[in-house]
Amino acid sequence: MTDPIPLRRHKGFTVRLGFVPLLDSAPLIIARELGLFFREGLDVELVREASWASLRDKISFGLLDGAHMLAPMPMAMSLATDRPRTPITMGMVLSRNGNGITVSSSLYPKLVECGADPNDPLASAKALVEVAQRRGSPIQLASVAPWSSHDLQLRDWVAAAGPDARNHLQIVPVSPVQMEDAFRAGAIEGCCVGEPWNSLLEWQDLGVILHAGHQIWQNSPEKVLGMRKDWADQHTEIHQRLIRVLLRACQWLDNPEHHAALRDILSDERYLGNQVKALDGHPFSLFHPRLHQHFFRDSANFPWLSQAHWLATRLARWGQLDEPSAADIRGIVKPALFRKAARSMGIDAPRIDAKTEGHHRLPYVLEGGDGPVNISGDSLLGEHIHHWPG
Amino acid sequence: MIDFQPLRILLIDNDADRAAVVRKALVEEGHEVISQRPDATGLTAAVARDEPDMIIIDMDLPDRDTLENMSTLNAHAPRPIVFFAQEQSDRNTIQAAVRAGVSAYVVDGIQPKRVRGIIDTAVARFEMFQSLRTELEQTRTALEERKLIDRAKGLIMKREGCNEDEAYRVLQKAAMDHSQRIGQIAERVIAMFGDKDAEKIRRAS
Repeated sequence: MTDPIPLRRHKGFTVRLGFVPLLDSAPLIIARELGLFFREGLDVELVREASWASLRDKISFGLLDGAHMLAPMPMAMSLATDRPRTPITMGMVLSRNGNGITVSSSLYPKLVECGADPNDPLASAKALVEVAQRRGSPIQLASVAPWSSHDLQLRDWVAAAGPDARNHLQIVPVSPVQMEDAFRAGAIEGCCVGEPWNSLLEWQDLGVILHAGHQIWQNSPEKVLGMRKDWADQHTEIHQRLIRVLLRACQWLDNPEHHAALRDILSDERYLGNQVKALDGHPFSLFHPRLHQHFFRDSANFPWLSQAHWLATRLARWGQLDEPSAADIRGIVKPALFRKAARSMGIDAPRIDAKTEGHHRLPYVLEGGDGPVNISGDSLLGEHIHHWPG
Repeated sequence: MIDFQPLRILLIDNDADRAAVVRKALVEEGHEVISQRPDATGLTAAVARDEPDMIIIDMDLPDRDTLENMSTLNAHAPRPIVFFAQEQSDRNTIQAAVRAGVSAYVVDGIQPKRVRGIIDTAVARFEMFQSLRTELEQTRTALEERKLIDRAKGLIMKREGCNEDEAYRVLQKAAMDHSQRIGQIAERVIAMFGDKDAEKIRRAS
């Protein structure tokens, strides 16, 4: 536990939020551009960060109050064993799905030859191992950060091919902005990355989207709103308003009629700029149909204790944390905060805080405060079932 | 007097002027700046080849994620400086560095004390450049605010049927009441009353 650092207060700013310019940072950007922050009386400064590392450090040292975070980040920051901890409070999920596993145009046919199948991630993982064995050298795959869902999904996917599959690949660090160059130079043969990078790689004929992240973990949380715990404890009312605004923004984003306007907004230089402009003429506009990215439907924003615990066990499996307890997760993830904010807007939420993960292939219904609420499917690769220990 | 071993430092900065100034200062202190790269193309290979004791990098470069991940690749990888931030004195140093936009990675086993001196040097140089940048930024913001204020005045004139001076006074009064800058109030007015092309105008400007 580290001492809280006094936050630097900027005259006129109530909240400083960081974001990394990806498609799923849209809730924060939309909230600002539609004037939703203003309407809730919030003065939010959005700070664009070039890397997850700098976003993390700025939060750790009090230069940001919170951020658009990778779903595993609140656990990685709060429970770190290899660095000073920064306790984080997570009161809502901002988006689900949106990652792709994209392989280079030259690797793709070789994988297909060995039985890779876009509908069967297990067969594709086995094909990956077989290609590596045939040529006698490991396959180079890229991921963005060790504590990202991309990295964990990639590892889970390859591990599904058998215990020694890990020996047939190398995961190398490449930031999304450099992914295109790395593909062009042949430095990597595949990656797991968020949008719009998969679409961009495919659109420029550099790669083929082999799988979607949701084929590994169906509808898992991708980005969340993470705030410094000391900030959240001191600013309960502002935090409530922040969740309300972002929930409204997420609702707006799930309406396809708004996507043309969204594209206009995101192509601004201050946000995603050229990443979006490079997709001009792309038939899917922003949302690739295979990736099932969504922001609101089927209780997408509910912060399940059990899903956070699942992510923390993945971090632990790959040696980044000690085995997490139910109490660890309860200290970080706050479904009650979400329920309260959602209720004040007339949006219902599940009554329970945790569930068994991996049981549902299809959307189903749970009891909410006012009646039934829709919940999306949650199956895990290899028909894995994850039990909440609490 | 302890034996002074110069450290081998890899400097990554896409601002050539600033990099030259930082480099000069470090060389004067007796350190060796082994290479200076505008970005991280081939960074992983370069670190493996040159084995620097320390990497200093501009916080705002995407390559920081690449460096973070090196520890997963090999045991001798430079580790982010936050590892040292256990003691209050280190925390203050690092906080100052983060604020100035300096980020540092150090190979395990190098004395935090020695690291601190190098970071202090880099921070001083970065801050000098940052204040220049802030000045430019402020000039630009002032111009942007003028555009916002003009747009908000137009909206108020249309809604209230008043003239330009009266519209400006409305903004001025609101700014006083809310103790905010007029530009911030103008932004609010646009958010509340602006039609779709208000956003377009703002983005195009």
